[in-house]
Amino acid sequence: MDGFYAIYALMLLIALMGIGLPVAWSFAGVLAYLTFIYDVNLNTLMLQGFRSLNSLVLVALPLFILTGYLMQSGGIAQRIIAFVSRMATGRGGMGTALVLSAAIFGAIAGTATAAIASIGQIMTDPLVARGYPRGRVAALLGISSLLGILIPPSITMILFAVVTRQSVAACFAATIGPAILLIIGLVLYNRFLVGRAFDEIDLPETGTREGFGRVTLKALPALSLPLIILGGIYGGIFTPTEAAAVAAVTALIVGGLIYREFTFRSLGSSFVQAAETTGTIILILLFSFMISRIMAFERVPQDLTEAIQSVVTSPIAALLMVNLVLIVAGALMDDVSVTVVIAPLFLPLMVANQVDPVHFAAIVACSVVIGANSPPVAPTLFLSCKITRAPIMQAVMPALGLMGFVAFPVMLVTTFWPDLSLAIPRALDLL
Amino acid sequence: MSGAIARMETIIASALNVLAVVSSAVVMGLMAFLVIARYVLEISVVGLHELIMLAAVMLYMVGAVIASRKREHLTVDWVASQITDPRRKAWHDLLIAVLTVVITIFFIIWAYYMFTWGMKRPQTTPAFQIPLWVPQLAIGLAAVGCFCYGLRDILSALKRLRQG
Repeated sequence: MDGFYAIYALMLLIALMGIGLPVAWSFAGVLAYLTFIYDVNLNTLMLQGFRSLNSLVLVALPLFILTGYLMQSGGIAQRIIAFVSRMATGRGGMGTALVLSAAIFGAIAGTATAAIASIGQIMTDPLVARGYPRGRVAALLGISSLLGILIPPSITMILFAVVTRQSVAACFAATIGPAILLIIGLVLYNRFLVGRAFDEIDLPETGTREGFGRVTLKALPALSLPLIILGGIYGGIFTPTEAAAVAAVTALIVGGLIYREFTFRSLGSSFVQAAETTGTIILILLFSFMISRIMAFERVPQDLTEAIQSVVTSPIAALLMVNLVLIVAGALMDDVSVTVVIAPLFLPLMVANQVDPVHFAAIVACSVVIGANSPPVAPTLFLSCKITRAPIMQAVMPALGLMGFVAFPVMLVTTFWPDLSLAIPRALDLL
Repeated sequence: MSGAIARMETIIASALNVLAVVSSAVVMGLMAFLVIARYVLEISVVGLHELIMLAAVMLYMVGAVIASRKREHLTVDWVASQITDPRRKAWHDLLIAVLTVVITIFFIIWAYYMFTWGMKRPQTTPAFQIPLWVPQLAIGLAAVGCFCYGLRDILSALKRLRQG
């Protein structure tokens, strides 16, 4: 019977989110339902949520979000894009530049939003001028921006690690392999389409163009950020939370003292916007912590695991089923909800099928890439369309092509080849 | 009357923004200082984590209230984007605002229970002896803040419905 209540709760969550209630309040609504169903002790309910929230690991989240906003307002984004655009030449060069810019963004900020806003604003018009259809730009940007979820540091992986009590550094490292595969896939797929789906136009040089050396020199401070973050975490110098603080301070110094692009207004706005984004995610997390506590207390994940194992006996079938659930959930919910709801619910099933939790982290991250671009919800694709000014219907088919030929195969490879995600954490002694 | 409300709204908005900037700066600055203290000054600062967490919880909750104020909470807006008729849009907004108010009442109740439980069994942080109700108060205030902005959204939707 308890399992049914969990399913009703999930259906209620989807229904509340579906009618347009903010995601945080949808989670709170489900929590209210569960407190009645399970007659929960209200004295300690919020206290448990507060204890989970009062975690130093979680502090990495607002700091990486802040870094993303500081990158945009501090001119770091422009320098990275200018540098990568000069590097990526040849057939499909501009598309490659977009993918690589998103990858570097991912290695600094850990969210898709910062990459979409910055890259979309700077690169859309040059790409369209070179013959890229606007819808295709939106689709490529939508999927590429999610490299931010796969390349450490990643907000999604911080959330996964917090809700499943895994090592943040191990979860970060687990998605590096799939990220490299996704970058290669996106670049090759884009090159394949040039001359077939659309023609790339060679534009003549106009005006004076900065030399490559000068562009590189200007980009060096910006490019040092990923080295500081990743080198610091995996060199054992910082914890992920400390790395996030160092990244934010470095972004502040680079944007303020080296590029001199900050104004008091833009700086204040970056801090406020970052706080706002953090607040929306944290509220969802607070309620999901409490829901997970109730579910765990009522042994719902264990009951679910036993129920599924009684029907699905092969580990491969179980993995395929979880893949499917993740994609469908991703198409109906946002990435934060998928991570905080599905991950703790299915982790026992994965462990029962000998799937390492860190490997499961990589599977969840890959599914988010697909879910975040899958209609009807498709938050990343819709945001990308908004920034690139592309009609949604023009972006859906190219997005489905990118997901079908690149993102989905990457997800399958990640699922059925554990070494792709576990080799790096093992090599770094994180497992 | 509406002028006074607008003035109050501006003051609240400015106060929230200032709190967001200060709490973010404290979290970022103290965390970076921890690293500098360890590697440059070679000292271990006891209790800094407590101050960071205090500022972090405040940052989280101020952020949540700012998102409510700006109606920027993460939303799956597929249904809302399909509604083009202004009257239907106002009805939809009213439904969402009413649900938000009902749910934030639960949020206030849960926070109240946490608060009273904490008062019965007072706890403090190990180093600075800061009472735990201090960061918990931020959650309670955020619940009340979000509730108030929910009420504002109900009034706004009703006003649009009345105007037709």
